[in-house]
Amino acid sequence: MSQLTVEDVSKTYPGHSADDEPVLALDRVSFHVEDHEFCSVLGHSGCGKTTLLTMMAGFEQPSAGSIRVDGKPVGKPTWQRSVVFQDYALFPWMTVHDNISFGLEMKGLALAEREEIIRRHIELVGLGGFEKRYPHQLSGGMKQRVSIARALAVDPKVLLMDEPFAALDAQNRALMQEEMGRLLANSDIEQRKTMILVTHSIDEAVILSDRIIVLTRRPGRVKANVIVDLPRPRDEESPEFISLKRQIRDLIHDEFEHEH
Amino acid sequence: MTTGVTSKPRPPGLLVRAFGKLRRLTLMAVLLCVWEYVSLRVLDSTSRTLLPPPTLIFTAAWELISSGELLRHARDSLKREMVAFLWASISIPIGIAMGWFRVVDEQLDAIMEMLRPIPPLAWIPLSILWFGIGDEQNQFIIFLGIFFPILLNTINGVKGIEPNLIRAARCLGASEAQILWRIVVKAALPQIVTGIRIGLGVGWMALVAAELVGANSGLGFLINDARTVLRTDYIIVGMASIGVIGLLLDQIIRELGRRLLPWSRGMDR
Repeated sequence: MSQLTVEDVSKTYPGHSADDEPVLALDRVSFHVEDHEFCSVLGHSGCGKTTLLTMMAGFEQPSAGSIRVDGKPVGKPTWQRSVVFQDYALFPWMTVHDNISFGLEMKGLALAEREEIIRRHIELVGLGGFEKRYPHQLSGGMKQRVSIARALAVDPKVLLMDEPFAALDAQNRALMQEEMGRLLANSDIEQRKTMILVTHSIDEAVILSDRIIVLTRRPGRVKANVIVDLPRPRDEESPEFISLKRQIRDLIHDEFEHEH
Repeated sequence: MTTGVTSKPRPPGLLVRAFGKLRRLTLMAVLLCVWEYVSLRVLDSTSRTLLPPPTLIFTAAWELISSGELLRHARDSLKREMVAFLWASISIPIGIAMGWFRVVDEQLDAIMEMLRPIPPLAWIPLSILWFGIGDEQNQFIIFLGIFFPILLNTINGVKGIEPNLIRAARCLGASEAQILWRIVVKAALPQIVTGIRIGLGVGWMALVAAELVGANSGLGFLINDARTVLRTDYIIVGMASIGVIGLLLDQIIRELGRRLLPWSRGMDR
């Protein structure tokens, strides 16, 4: 429900020792994400895409340039930009219910309201009956569902996802992508959050996104800004889907050739 | 949706388990018999005083138990251990502060690193001069034994927290104070419990040494007192009691950890 603007963002890290050259991770990255848009940031590992996400969340600051949500520069981390982590980052001492409740308690919501929101989100990610389980009693796919529910429950303006399905096995990954795609297809566009997904999977990006930002290898620059205008849920067999996939693969492949 | 929920295999029946446990005791039973035989048939009566047969030791144990003497000494020792533990639990907040706040760590680290390598027993002479002989001196030595294991484990527990757990809490709207209380302390708990287990063990060892030289009661005093009257059977009973109680303490903390922190897989080990 918010716009996100990335403008001329660069990030340099100091070298390992004082003599080392500083490392440029991202180089003047700019793009704009509209209201309700699902935007993927696609690139090879080490291209700085996760760095970009941590800056959007406010965990780190850009070395140059600015990131703005609805025109306001991003500051400290807040529930308005909640994050889904690759390693789930569920609180192991809390049950599924309590993990989702945590952010709502931090917001100071009353008990009845909290319970209603928790119930709705547990239903949304299909975890009914698992409320009292601890994270170590869940499979990877279920943990990531909890993590998504926890991030959505606080009603953020922007949902940030850092390779959320990368740690899952191939089958679970495909299943989660499909479900996410269905969720996006079924949800009312006006209700949908602005979402940023960082990924290295072309399939994932094409199945889910309205917009795909392709990054170059390190230092990451914007290689292409692709609008995906296919009906949801996406038909992976359709010629349009396949040709778009090929187009993006060529962009990434080209980048690979370039390097070697 | 229901795939991947972890399940445990069903435990075997009670009888099977009991038999399995008993089978493990075979060698111990044989050794006890050999000991009995050697003590009664091989040793002369003077040497037998130094190594009484198990049967005599059991008789001595019964004497000490029925007279209430063993219980009294054990109670005194345990009381010292517990009082020292209460004092030593100050290491938990100190450890959390050292693990979380860089300033505290910078200032305290050097002091702790200076004190830590000094074995608790090396403090005995000084502590006798400070506190005299009795409970305070004993408790001080035990305190030193318990303090550092808890402190180091607490610091490690806090420093070893998954950075993403803290980030997750931040982006869910937690304040710094809430992160410290609701995330850092909770995440460090399993390691703190491990520290308590190790600490109570070290403290228990230190306790016996402290009582050997500086007490008028307790299990350490009991075995040293028995030495002066050449009651080897009492000494061995005392030693066995020290071992059994030490083991029980460890088991109790382990079980408490399992009950109170069901989410921690580390507690299963």
